[in-house]
Amino acid sequence: MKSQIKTLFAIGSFLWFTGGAYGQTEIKFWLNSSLAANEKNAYQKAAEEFGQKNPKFKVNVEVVPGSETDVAKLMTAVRSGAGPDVAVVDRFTIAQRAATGLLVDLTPLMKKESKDLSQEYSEGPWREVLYQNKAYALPTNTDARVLFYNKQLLKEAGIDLSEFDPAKGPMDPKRFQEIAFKLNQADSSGAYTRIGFVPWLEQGWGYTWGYAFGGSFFDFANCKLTATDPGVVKGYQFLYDWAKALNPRKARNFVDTYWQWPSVGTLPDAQMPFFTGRVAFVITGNWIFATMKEVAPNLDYGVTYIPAPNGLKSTWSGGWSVAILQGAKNVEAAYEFLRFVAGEEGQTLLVKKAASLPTIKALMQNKDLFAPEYSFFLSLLPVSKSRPPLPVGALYWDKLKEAEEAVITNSEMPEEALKAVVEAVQPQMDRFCK
Amino acid sequence: MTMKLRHHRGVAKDIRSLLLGLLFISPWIFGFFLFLAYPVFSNFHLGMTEYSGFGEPEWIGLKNYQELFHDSLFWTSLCNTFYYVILAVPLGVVVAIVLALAMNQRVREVSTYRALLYIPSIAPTFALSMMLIWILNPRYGLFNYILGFLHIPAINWLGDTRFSKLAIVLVAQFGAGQIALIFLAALRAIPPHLYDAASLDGAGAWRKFWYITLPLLTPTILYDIIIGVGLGLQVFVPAYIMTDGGPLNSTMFTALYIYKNAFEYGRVGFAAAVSGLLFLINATVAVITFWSSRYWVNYNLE
Repeated sequence: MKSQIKTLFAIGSFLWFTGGAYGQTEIKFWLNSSLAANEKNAYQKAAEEFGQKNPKFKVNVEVVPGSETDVAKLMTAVRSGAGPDVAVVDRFTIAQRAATGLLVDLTPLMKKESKDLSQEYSEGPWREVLYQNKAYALPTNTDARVLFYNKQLLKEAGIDLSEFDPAKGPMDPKRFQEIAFKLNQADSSGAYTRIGFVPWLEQGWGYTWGYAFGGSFFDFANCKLTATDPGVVKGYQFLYDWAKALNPRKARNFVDTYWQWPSVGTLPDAQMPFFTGRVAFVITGNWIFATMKEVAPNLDYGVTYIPAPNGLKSTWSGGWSVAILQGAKNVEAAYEFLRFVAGEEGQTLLVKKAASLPTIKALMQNKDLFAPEYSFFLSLLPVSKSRPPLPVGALYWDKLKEAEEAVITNSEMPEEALKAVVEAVQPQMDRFCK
Repeated sequence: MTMKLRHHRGVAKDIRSLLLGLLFISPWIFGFFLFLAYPVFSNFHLGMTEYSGFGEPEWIGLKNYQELFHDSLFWTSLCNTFYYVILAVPLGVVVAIVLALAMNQRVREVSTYRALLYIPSIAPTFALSMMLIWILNPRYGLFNYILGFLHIPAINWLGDTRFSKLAIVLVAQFGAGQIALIFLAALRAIPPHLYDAASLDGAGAWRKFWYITLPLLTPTILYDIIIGVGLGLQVFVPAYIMTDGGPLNSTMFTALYIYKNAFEYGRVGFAAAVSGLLFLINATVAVITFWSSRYWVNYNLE
């Protein structure tokens, strides 16, 4: 026994010393399990390239359970001193994680640089990494949501495709409903086997429709949540009416059958309802180019604006960011890695491998980087909105989702559902209002 | 004098053996204080603070509890949890006894049956839940397919507020094999001569079960209820994996609510208050169950 311990000790110290001899600094980099496979690959590749360029660093990439809003593992690991140096964090939660005390303030490190990073990145994503005017992460990529349509299904239904030409601007929701409902199909029991358009599928969140109907979700001047803003209410009313026209229960059965919400993670990419032709329209983002290439390369599709009244061109953008965690072993090294992943090299990888849009202004000008299908998305970025970066962002998101569910099941009217959101979240927000 | 001395020696010996005894169970004592008593105590402390998980907890007294009492979602979660416990625990006892009886048949292939009946309990709840999402699919799921033979129309198990909790109760039954093993041991411990005597008196299988087997299983049933209620009040995994608390919060169980507050909303203090309350509820229910046991648990084998 004793000799075994000695051996272990010897091996351990050997490894320790050799590690030291090479002078390699280890950077522990965490990806969360809800990143798309292509995104994970891109980050992984970025870590490898960084290691090759900077042999004194060794980046260890680990995928850990977690999602956009669920950071249980990250929190407990950091709290117990076993956390990573760097992690990929959903950008709209940065303010919240910073308020929690999970992240390291990057401002002092940024000040040492010759260039002003806030000028390098586009404005929307940059605003999302700030909390109380300090930067807590660097944005790695962004996206935009649009209406995708299946040309083949539309042609079969005898629908004139020219109406969906982006040059004609966003389609009016009423006209859109007339068209979409032509594509509904049901079996002998009355259960839907195809629905032209389910507005709440994939990226049809409350934010999507709230913005499409001209709503706003937060009043920064007064530190007030504005979920009851008339535009937002109209957006939710649109969902309510659409669900009613479909029959809420039948629509729910359809969604649960072909999309298995909310356990969407269990659905293989190839079975996403838009790829299988179960829906003819869907709201989703540029990232599906990467999956489409793999699972539905022959899909004949088109893209256009999200339907909205009065020709309002609306969309919103999200995206990921990389942050340094409290208790990081080597903050300087971590920062250097951060700059690489969120820099031109890392972002180029994300564009190429995961069909992301960049957040660096200079990269957006680089036309060689983008396939033709990106141009519509890039053109939307100037008008694109984002979720308000709030220290209660995750709670607000969950409550808006709850209201959406109440509305699409027709169990509550939009106004009362959204009032409940404000009532639940504003008291939490008040703690941060000064 | 000698008596006194002997007495002294006796005390010294007692103390010595007490210390020795304590030493022998010290890993348990150590574990109890470190992993149970301390966390419970510090949880109650955290429940009276505003705490994000980082930095210093800020003392706010009973404010969290005040908020809790006005928080409708907390009450919803508590109702959901009790709904689950009230259905899942008794059903669990029945399923486990049936499984144990099946495992106890005198047939040649009994070991195969035992293995088959036990296998679902080995599957981690996480994996089982993932699988059940598919089995419970409203249109293509195996479960609705079987119900189709009974001319029961397709049910959207996880997407319909009327069935979502029931679905999770059903999921829990896959783990019944675990407790069935304990029932099996209890069944084997019942002296065969009792059955022989009953047979001589002309008792049939049902009477034997009702008047011999069941009364002699009551200590095990008590055990099952205590464990089942304790675990049931903390039900988490199936809802976390399959429904995320939905639809319309119909599967928002208290443990999930605690989790969301602590790890998604960064409200560790509030979450600690909820878990403190859940702990008290759990303890109360356990005490009541124990107290009631004197009326229905049969400890006399003679």
